[in-house]
Amino acid sequence: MGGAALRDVLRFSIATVTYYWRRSLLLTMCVAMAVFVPLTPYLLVRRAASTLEERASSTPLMIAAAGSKTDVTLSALYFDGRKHNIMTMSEVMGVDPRRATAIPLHLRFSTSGVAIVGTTEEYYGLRGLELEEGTFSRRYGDCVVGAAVARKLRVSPGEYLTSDPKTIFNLTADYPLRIRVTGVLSPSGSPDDEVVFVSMETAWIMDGIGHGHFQGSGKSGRAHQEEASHQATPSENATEKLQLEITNENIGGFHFHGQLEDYPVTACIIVPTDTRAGTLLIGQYSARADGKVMVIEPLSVVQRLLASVLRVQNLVLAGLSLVTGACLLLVVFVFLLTFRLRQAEFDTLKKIGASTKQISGIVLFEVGFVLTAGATIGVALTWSTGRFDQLLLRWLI
Amino acid sequence: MILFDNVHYCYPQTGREVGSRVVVRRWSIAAGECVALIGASGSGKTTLLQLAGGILGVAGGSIQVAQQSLGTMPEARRRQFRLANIGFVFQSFELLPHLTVEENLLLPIRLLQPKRLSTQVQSRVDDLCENLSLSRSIRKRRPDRLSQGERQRVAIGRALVTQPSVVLADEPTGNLDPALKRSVVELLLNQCRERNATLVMATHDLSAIDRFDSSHETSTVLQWEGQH
Repeated sequence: MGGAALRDVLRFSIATVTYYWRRSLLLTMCVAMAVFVPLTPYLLVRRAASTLEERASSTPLMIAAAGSKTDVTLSALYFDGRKHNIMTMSEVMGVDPRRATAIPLHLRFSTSGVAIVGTTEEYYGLRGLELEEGTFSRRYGDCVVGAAVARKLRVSPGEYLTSDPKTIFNLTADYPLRIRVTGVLSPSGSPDDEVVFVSMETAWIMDGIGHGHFQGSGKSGRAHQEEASHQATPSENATEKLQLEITNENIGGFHFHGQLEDYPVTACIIVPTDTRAGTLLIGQYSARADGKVMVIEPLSVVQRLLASVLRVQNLVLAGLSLVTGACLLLVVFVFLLTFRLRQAEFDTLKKIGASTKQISGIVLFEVGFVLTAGATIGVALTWSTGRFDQLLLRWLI
Repeated sequence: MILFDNVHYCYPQTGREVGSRVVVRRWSIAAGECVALIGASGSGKTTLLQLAGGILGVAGGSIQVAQQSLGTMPEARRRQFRLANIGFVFQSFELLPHLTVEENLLLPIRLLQPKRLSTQVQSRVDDLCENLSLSRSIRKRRPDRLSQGERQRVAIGRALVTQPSVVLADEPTGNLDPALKRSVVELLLNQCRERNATLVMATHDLSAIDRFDSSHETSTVLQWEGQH
């Protein structure tokens, strides 16, 4: 068939497709769904799995108080808010700096529902986090926020966030801390975009371990605030009165009680200097007799978790493939039925002088047009839902 | 001219029933002649036209149309010959519903010569439309938005667009009201006479046969053999 003949056949097929537009639209959408339905979950799960694995593989080892390795991994890597036993800073300090870098994590507080992560500067280096604007924390009470948090809470450097109260009914509990935003991180496409980072010291102040004394009053920050709250009438915004804030004026009075070794830590990321050091550390923690601390290889924890997800995914995909097969069969059946109904049309073409090849060409182009349009729409829909892989990621963990 | 010489045709077998067989001993129509083929329903008018048009293949004998022997022609050549030399007008118009009037008119040309339409062809189509009173606005419409008379005019135009030497019309007025019937017959006759084309029109309506050069009865043209 020459170029002009092909063009004629194509024109004829397009005329048919547009004339029977309801049927064409229905079949196109059927094909689109047949492509979209199995492809989307497959790709979303694959992308989510690869994101999970990527983050886990960039976290060589972790130590945490004995308990669920899965909980600690999900909490420390993806900040999913799972509660876990705490260990003490002594475990972090016990990591031999010649063998590894220890990066403590404190995950207990939140602000407006967003997790506050207490950590050290090494964390930013490990994750390759850079500032989009502002500076890193310079003193107690400062924080840097992830890109998504800055957008969500509409904060920029110089503005303040307040940690969520652990309880609103217990007046003797730790008071919320007003923290100053000093920087906004560049988007990293990781869970780091969705948290607020503070120094370990700031996290411990939120814990009530560190506090300040206001000059002139001779009272501790908490005592001062309590007094203020007693003086305030309930109508005068009680919540605001029950806040701590670290300022340039009162920072000199802040100090910590107790021994650093006893301060709480949720988990500690360990970055061994080399493979050998890593192996030795795994051996060292596995051999500990007290069983207080466990060593975690995040990648293997995530892979175990994903193996279950992928098993379920395969099952779902098998079911969806059956539905897709049935859908495509239905499309074929509808095509056959309509061609049968249009037999008179084909007979007319034959009587006028069209060849079987020309008629087959018209039919094939028509089917091809619907299949191509349907597949294109299906792929486009799949691509556009790819944006929701972070949502799926959150649902998965 | 059209010449049937000892033509045998067997109808396809349906189920257990043996197909009927028709024989046309000799039937000739001169070039440029306009002939009415008369006969009751089922008398074989359509079969004769389809044999003359090369749609049906013969079991024996020979059919000559425009100096070409259709009986010995292979199917592909017969199809090409039909496109180039024979125009068909059908009872129920048989316009393709998804094509516009203009696309329907051009269909035989596109099937015959799938290449860019020459200005010569385009002007021929314009003239044809003018003769058939098919205005520009009508040419852009689809058949479902046309009246019965307009549809039949388009069907006649489609039959004439390739300037065939033979036009075969199978009861083209069968679905029309009496007033329209006469005008369609007149139109068909005038167009064929203007182009000096041979016209064979099958009909069971005797009211317009006086306008034809001659009329032939199917019962005198063909004989049935076997069950009928």
